[in-house]
Formats: sequence, structure tokens, C-alpha cells
Amino acid sequence: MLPFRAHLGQTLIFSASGALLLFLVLPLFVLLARAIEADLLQQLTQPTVTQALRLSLVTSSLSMLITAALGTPLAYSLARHKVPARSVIETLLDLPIVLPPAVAGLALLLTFGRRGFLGPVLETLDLSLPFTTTAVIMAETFVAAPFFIRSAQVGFANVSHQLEESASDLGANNWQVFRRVTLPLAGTALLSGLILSWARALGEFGATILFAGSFSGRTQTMPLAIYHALESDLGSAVALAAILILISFFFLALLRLITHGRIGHPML
Amino acid sequence: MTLYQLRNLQHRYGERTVLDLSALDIAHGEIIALVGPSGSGKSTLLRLLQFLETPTQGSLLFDGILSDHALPLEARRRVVTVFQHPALLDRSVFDNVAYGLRLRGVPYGPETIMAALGRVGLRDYARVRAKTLSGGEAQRVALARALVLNPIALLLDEPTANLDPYNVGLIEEIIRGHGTTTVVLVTHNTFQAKRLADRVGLLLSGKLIELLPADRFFNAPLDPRTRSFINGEMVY
Ligand SMILES: Nc1ncnc2c1ncn2[C@@H]1O[C@H](COP(=O)(O)OP(=O)(O)OP(=O)(O)O)[C@@H](O)[C@H]1O
Ligand SMILES: [Mg+2]
Repeated sequence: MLPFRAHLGQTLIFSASGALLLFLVLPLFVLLARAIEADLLQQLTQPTVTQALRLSLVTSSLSMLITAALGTPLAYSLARHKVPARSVIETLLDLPIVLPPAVAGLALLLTFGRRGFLGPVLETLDLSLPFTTTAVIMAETFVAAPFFIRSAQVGFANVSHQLEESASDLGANNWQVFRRVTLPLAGTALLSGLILSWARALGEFGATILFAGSFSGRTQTMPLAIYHALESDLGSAVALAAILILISFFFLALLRLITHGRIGHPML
Repeated sequence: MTLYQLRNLQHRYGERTVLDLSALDIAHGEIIALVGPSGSGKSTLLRLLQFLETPTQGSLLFDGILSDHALPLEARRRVVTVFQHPALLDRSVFDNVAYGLRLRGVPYGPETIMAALGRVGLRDYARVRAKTLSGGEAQRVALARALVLNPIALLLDEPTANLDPYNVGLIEEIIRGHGTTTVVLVTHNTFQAKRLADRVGLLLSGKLIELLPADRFFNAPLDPRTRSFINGEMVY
């Protein structure tokens, strides 16, 4: 028999955990249940739904590709090189994480808008960015990239310098060291950064609606479509939300599986 | 023939000068032993000889080529170090020994790898996971993976530090049979330096006090600090 106070402590821990867990999970299940009730599959054939789904997947994937391609070198430099004003840069990179997305959207509009800071330049190039699909990708990248960069930076910083040196000592060229030692060892951090930023991009709302607007088929991603469907048709809003939950869950679980098996060692 | 030529070389970490060598020449095919107290800069010198770092000041020529960021990979690949604490890949012992050859894209047969493992007495360990090795075994694997590359210069940082007397003998036999390979051996064991080296150098606080043929280093050193170091008195 445990003493009374130990029992009390355990009971408190369990009930506190249970209450929070319930609070976090219950709404999601209620939503899923409503979606099944409202005939989810039938909603899936609606053009607003399919368009939003396709647009969300395409833009968030492109945004993730851009983030990975440009963010990896940046994260590597921040982790490895002498960067002037490093802490200033790092703080600036963290800003989009804490700022309300609406602020990001406004900032993008003021910079890339027709009358914005770069407006004249863009006009001579015959480019108009706001309220286009490109603007959606830009908004998503703007708010999501910092998640990847920060995670990747920590990953690169944690790679054992000793392993890299012994590869280089054994005759690896710089690219081989990076490709065969650094990248695999930082791989877990890179992947989890990608998960985070991709999820963030998929859920992006505030910056998108300000900078890209909400045009069906062009800039209306799933979160925007849910918002608009609420006005007209609760059923399709619920369906869209359920799909978003399922997709997010699926990808998070998948990537978690991938990262789990690869808490990494250099590969030959 | 000189393999390495160092002139007015200084190496600094931040404000601290950890190496300050006015001149050092290392000949093709010789065995040089470097001795000196902990922190005297022995490992740092090996890092420079391995081109892991470029000297802060002064010049380091390898086979006539200046060691800087533009040092060709081909030159770098002719030197191998066995580090004080070797880092092995989390793979089999066989894969670790084959690693350098794979990086070079050199075709090799299993017998090449097995022969190198045989030389360090680890023939039966080929399939063992490198992670599970003892310190001494890991050190010998590191030596095997260096030997298999047939380097022009082999840099050894305390290669027998973790070994029992039998394996010390084994490794020393390998060093003695170095052939045309130049060996730079860092050791805390002055007897080992005496047994193996053609020339022995004493480093104190980053300075090369003297570098003499082994018998003269031990029997008739010019600098009193050398004598007191050999006698095991602390010198700083
Ligand atoms: N990366 C570094 N940054 C700053 N200081 C360093 C660095 N590497 C080495 N040092 C310093 O340089 C000095 C020489 O170090 P080194 O490793 O060459 O000594 P050592 O002669 O090999 O010593 P030991 O016999 O203990 O291995 C030491 O005082 C060490 O603290
Ligand atoms: Mg050392």
C-alpha cells in the first residue's frame, strides 16, 4: 500500500494530464465525427473542396522545397561559419515565429505589393505578385521557413566535428564530408524541421488572406476555404477541416516514423 | 628530399599562440617522433601536417605545394592521421577500413581489407560493429584504415596509448616496417621514441626546442630542457 500522500500525488498527476489531453483531443474527434455524419466522401467531390485541397498541397509542398533548398545552406552557415551579427540575424529569423501572421501578411504586402517598396521594380519586370498563387507560396514560406532553419541549425551544430575531420582525413572532399557525414547526422533535425515548417505552411491563414486574398482555385487554400464555407455551408467546412486533420496527422505520423528510424549515424 | 617544409610558422587560437616554429623539415621516408608535455602543441602540429587547419602565419609546404585552402585534394589524400581518439563510423570494422578507399573511388577486393586487418591483429573482427570495440581495438582499426590507403605520410597521435604490451609491440613492428612512408609519431613514451624514431623533437609551449637524431637526442642533447624532459622532470 502506498501512503496516502503518494496516492493523492498520483491521482493529481493523472487527472491533470487526463483533463488537458481530453481538452486537446476531444474537439478534434467531435469534428471528425460530425464530418462522418455529414457524409465526408460526398463532400470530397465538391469542386471548392478539391480545389482547396489541391492548392494547399501544391503550395505547401513548393514552399517546403524552397525552404529546404535555400534554408539548408543558411542553417549550415549559421551553425558553422563566423557570421557577423549572428545573434541579430537569429533574432530576426525568429520573429516570424512569434509575430501574428497578419503582421507578416501586411509586411509582405507593403514590400511586394503594387504600391509596395519593390512595386516599381516588379512592375518594370511585368510581375504582379499579390493575390496570386505565388503570393500564397511566399506567405507560407515567410511564416514557415524559420521553423526549418532553426531546427536545421541546431542539427548542424550538433554534428560531431571529430567525425567530419576523420572523414576528411581519410580523403573525403568537402562535398563528401557534407553528403556522407554531416547531412546524415543532421538528418533527423532537418526532417523534423521540415515537418514543423510544412505543417505550419499547411495551416497558414493570416498572412495568406492579407497578401494573397481568398480566390477560389487560385489562392484559397484549405484554411481559407474553411473560413469561407462557414458563411454558406457548414457541411463542407466540417469536411474540409476533417480532411486537414487527417492529412496533417498522416504526414506527421509518417515523418515521425522516418525520423525515428534514423537517429543517425553517417552512412557509407 | 624534403616532404614537409615549415618556415616561420605560427598558429594561434584566438589570442593564444599554440605553435611557433621557425623551421622544421621532414624528409621523405623518415620516422620523426615528437615528444613534449601535455598541451605543448603536438596534436596541433599534426593537424597542420594533415591540412585540417592552415597555419595562422608562415608557410607549410607539402612536397613543394603550399598548404592553404587551395591545396589540391590529391595532395591531401596522400596524408593520413590516426587520431588520439579515433572516430569510427557506426558500421562494421570491415566497412571502416574500406572507407578511405570508397571515398577515393578506388576499386578494392576484400582481401585488401583483410590483409590490413591482419596486420593489426584484427582479422577476426571484420564483421564486428565498430561501436562495440574497446579503445585499443578502435585504435588498431584506425591504424588499419590508414595503412590500407598506403599514404606518403602517416601521422600518428599516441597510437599505442590504449594498448597492452603485446599490441604495443605489434603496432611498433608495423611502424618499423613503414617502408617509404614518412611517419610523424606523437608519443608520451620516450622509450618508444627511442625504439622507433630516426629523429626526435621536443616541443615545449609550442616551440621546437630541438630536433636531433634519436641517439643524440637521448645521449647528448644540446638543450638542458631536453635532458630534464627525458629524465622525467617537469618542464614548462
Ligand atoms: N580548437 C582549439 N581552440 C583553442 N585552443 C586549442 C584548440 N586546440 C588546442 N588548443 C590548445 O592548444 C594547446 C595545444 O594543444 P594540443 O592538443 O596540440 O596539445 P598536445 O601537445 O597534443 O597535448 P596532449 O599531449 O595533452 O595531447 C593546448 O593548450 C590546447 O588547449
Ligand atoms: Mg594531443
